[in-house]
Amino acid sequence: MKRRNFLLVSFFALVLGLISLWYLKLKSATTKALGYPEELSEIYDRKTLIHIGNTYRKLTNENTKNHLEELLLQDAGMMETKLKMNLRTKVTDDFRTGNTILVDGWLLSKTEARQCAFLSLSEAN
Amino acid sequence: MHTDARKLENNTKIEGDICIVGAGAAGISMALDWNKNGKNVILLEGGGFEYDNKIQDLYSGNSTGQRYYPLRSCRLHLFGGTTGHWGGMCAPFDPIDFKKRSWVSDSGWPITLQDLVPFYKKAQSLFELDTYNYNLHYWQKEYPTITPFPLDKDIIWSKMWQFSPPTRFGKTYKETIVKSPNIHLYTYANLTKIVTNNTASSIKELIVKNHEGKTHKVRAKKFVLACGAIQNARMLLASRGLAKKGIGNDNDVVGRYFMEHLEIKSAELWLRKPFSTELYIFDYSTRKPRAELALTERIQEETGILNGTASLTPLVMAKQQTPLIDVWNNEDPRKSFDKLVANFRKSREQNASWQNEKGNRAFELFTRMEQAPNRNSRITLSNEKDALGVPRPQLHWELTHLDKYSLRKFYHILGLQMGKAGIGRVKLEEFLRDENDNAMPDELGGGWHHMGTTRMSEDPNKGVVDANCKVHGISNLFIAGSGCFSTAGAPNPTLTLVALSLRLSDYLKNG
Repeated sequence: MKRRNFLLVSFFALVLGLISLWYLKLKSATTKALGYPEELSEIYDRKTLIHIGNTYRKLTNENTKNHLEELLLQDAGMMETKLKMNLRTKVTDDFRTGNTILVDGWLLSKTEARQCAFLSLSEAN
Repeated sequence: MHTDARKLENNTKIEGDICIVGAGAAGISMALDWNKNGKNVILLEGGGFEYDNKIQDLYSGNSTGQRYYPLRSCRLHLFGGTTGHWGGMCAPFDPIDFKKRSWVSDSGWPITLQDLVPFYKKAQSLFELDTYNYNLHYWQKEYPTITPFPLDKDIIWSKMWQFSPPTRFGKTYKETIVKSPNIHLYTYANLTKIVTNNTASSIKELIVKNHEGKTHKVRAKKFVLACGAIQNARMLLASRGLAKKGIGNDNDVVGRYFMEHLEIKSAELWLRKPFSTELYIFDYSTRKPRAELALTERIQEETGILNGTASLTPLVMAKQQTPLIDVWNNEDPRKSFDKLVANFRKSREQNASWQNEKGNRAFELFTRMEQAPNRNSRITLSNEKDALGVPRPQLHWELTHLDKYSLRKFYHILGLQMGKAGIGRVKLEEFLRDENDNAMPDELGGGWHHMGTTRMSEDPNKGVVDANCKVHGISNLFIAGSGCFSTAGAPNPTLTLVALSLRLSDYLKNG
C-alpha cells in the first residue's frame, strides 16, 4: 500500500513538475516575445529600445509588467509561435488603424511601444 | 539687337509693338517666342551681361514676420536673371494645384493643368530637358533599376522630377537675343515708373533710368512686367499717379498673397532592411530624374492638408548640412551662392560612407510644401528709396496654422504608411511633435521662390490679373512669372512660370 502511494505521489509530482517546467518555458518564451518588438529590433539596438520603453512608460500610465502583459496578450494568445505572429499582425493593424504614439519623435505602433516598455521593465528587474 | 541704355542720349524715346520688362526666365522665354515674327519687341533689362553690385543693390529690401533670406541676394539682377544661380529642378504642378479646395482659403486658379500642358512641353526644351514625361512608369523603362517603396498607391505616390543642366538663360540665349532682327534688348534700362493714360485704364509709357543719370521713355502697344514677383508688385505699387493706390491696385490686392515654398528638414526615415533608393536620391553626376514622396489628391482632401513632397537624403550626408536659411545669409548673392555650394560639398564628402549598410538605411526627409494663400503675407513699400528713387520693397512673410498642420500631418501619414508596409519607421523633428505648437521654427527656409503678389483670379477682389495674365482694369498691361500663381503648388516654380509666360505670349500673339 505504502509503495503504491509512494508511486502515485511520485507520478503526480512528476506530472506537476513537467507542467511547471512547461509553464515556465512557456512563460519565458512569452516574456521574451512580449519584450521583443520584432521590426523595431531590426532598426534600433537594445539600448534604444529600452530608452523608447522608458519614455513610453512616462507618457502613459502603463507602468507594470502585469498591466503591459495584459494589454499585449489581448487577442494575442499564449503559444509562442502564435504570439509572435499575432504581435506582428497587431503592429501592422496599429499602423493601419492609427493606433500609434509619438515617442521622442518616433511614430510607433502602440503594441511595439508597449513591447519596448515591457522590455525596459524586464531589464530593470 | 542690343543697346546699352547708358550710352543713349538722355530722354531717348524707345518705341515698339510690345515691351517686356525684365530679362530673366519669363522675359527671355517670351522674347524668344517672338523671335523673327516681324513684330518690334523691346526687352528691357535693368542690369548688364555681368554682375554689377550697384545694380544688384536695387533689389535690397527689408523683411518682417517669418525669418527670410536677404531680399538683395534672392534674385540676380542681370541679363538671364536668377537662372544665373538656380538649381535646375523641374516638375509640373499637379491637377489639384489648380483646383478650388474647400480646406484651402483662396485656392483655385481660373485655368487648369490641361491649359498649361502645351506650354509645359514648349518650356521643357528651353530648359534643355528630355521629353515632357513625368510618369514613374516611363522613367522605369529608361532606368529599370529604379524602384519605388512598396507603399499604398492610393495614399502615396512618387512625384518625378527632371533636372535642367541647369540652363543659364543669360549665357544660353544671349546670342539669339542679341542677333535677333526684331528683338531689341536694352541693358541698364531700369523701370522706375509706369505711366497710365488720363483714365488710368491703359499704360501710356514707362520711365527707365540708370545710374549714369539717363532717363528714357518707352512706348508700346502692350507691356509685360516680367521682373519677378517682388519687383513686379513693387513697381505697380510705386507707380502712383492717377491710380492713387498704385496701378491695378483698386482692390488692394497688389503685393498681397506673397508665397514661398516651405523647405525644411522634417523627419528621418529608418528602413528595416536595405532598399535600393536609387529612385529617390539625387545623382550629382548624371542629374537623372528622381522622385519625391507625395500624398495623393484623395488623401489631401480627406485630411484637409496642403500639397507637398518629401525628398530623401542619406542621413550621414544630411547631418553635415546647415539649414539653408543659415547658409544663404549674405547680402551679396555670389557669396551666399558660394556658401551654399560649400554646404552641399561638405555633405557630399560623406558620399562614400553612406554606401555602407547602416547609412543606406537612414534618410533625412526634407519637405517642399506649398504655402497656404494668405492676404497678410505681402509686399509693401518702404519709406527708403533706392539709388534711382524707387521706394524699396518691404516683405512681410506670414504663415498660417494650415501650413504647420499640413507639415505635421504629412509626416504622420507617411509614418503610418511606412509602418503599415513594414518598410521602416519615421522620426519627426522636434518642431513637429507638439500638436498645439503652430509656430514655424527659425530653421524654416524657402526655395527662393517668390510667388503670388499679382495673383491670378477672375475676381478683381481676389486677384490682380485675369486668366490671361492681364492686369484687371488695365487694357494693355500684363504680368509674366510666378507672381501670377494663385497657389504655390509643391514643385519649384521655374518650369511652371515659363509655361505660363509662354501661354501669355501665345495669347498676345493671337490677341
